[in-house]
Amino acid sequence: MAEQKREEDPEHFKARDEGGMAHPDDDLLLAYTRGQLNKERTSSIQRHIEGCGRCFRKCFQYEEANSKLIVMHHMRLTDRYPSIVDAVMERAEQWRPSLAHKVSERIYLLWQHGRRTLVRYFPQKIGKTKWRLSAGSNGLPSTAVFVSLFIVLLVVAAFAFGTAAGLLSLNTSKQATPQGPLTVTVPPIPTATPTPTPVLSPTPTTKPYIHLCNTAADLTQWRMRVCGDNFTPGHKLVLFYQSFDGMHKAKHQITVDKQKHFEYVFKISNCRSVPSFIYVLDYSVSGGRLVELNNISYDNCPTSMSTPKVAETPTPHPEP
Amino acid sequence: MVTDVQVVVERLKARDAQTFRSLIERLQEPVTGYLHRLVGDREVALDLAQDTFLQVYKEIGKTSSDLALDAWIYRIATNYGLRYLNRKRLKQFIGLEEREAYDENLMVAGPEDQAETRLLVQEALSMMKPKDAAILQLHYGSGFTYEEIGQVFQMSSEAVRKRVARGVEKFRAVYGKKVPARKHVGTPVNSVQPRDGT
Repeated sequence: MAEQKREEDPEHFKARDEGGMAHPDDDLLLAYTRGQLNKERTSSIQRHIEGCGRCFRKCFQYEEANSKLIVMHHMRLTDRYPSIVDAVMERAEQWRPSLAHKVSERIYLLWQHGRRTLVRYFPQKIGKTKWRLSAGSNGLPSTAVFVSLFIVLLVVAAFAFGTAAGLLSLNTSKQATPQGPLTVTVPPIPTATPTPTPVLSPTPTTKPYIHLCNTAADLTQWRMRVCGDNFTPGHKLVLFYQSFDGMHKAKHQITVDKQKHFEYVFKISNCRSVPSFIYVLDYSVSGGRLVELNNISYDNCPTSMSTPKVAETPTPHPEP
Repeated sequence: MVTDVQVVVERLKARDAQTFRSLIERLQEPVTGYLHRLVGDREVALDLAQDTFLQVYKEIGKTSSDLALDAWIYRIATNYGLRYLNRKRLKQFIGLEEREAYDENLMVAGPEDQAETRLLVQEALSMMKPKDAAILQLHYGSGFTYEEIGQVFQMSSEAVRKRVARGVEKFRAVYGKKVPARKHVGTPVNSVQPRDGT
């Protein structure tokens, strides 16, 4: 009788067929086939299945689907993954927290501290709330804090730039129209007469270029180091490359440092993954600027290519 | 009581390089494997795994000491994987990218028909919603329990149970369509149609 009552428990057995017989939900049956239920529920469903053809068939179908999906567990790689430890450590060392990052970290610590204090004084009310401000969560409080901070920053930036622009415009307008009604100063329209344009084609020494700058340590650890010089500081670049066999492609974002220089290191897993070309696209330049490095040789990898040769191709509209 | 995980989290917060290195060494294989199965591309998976660990390094300061570290790392990896898949789908939809064949590096040990099953399973999963596919990957591929998946996705284990069941129903529907299309006779075709008709 007790067993019958447990089987009729609406918590466990919600679905009913035409005959009025209660059945467990499908998700419970699947969980049963996967061994994800506690002892009580497992035995309860087991008893039900023994006398219910419908649920037995359903379990059989789930077992069939499980046998397909479990193949994922047996997926093995033909070769092991190359270690990413060095690459991550290097990127981590290069990383410097931005001001926004530091501010958001401080806000989080303040939030945690405030929450702990509140929990100490109002344990019943505050302790039960599940508000979090962690990096992975997208809860309302964290979003609200960041949105408000962003708005405040936006207002401050707008005010600062507005003031600066106002000061500038005040200085120029003082010379143009010292007094009187509001006037619109139209900048002079450039005439069709040819004027000397600023230097668009820099001298060879100031041309941005990329080259390989592998160190001995790079070669021993199967890494390739690409260096770029004469780029505009602060510009954002996209570096992309493709291996000889065409199987390994990658695209990475880089920022040029104050010395007009950048370095990028990537892992070479085997000779097939040595890039056949490397492109760097400076998309901060209007129209984009593409710098190319071909004929790449790496250590003792068999390649018909000779020493690295630098080629610079400024294209107004690059098509990667 | 301070647990080992809490000690690790505190050391990571102090930017201890050795702890960070050993964390990567411990988790790089399973996380990269999970991402590889999810996105179906070895190189992309390696890149995403790097990004995942770098994000851990950057954001660890914003977490509390009672953090479930592994689940949090898998959550970051999942977010990166899902973002990649969503962008890829968008590119395919607007015609910027063509559908690619599956990575042959993902092999299945065992008889030949398992390799065929593996391809069909990968194809079927790629046709499902990325989040559903990720949950099935974690449960069947990485062997996570419902509770562990709940920690990754910040859901209750009951919600995960329902989500897995829905995912399996969808998988059965897609897989059932795939098998007759390929005229594959090695594996039986599911006869029962899904309830939601997907």
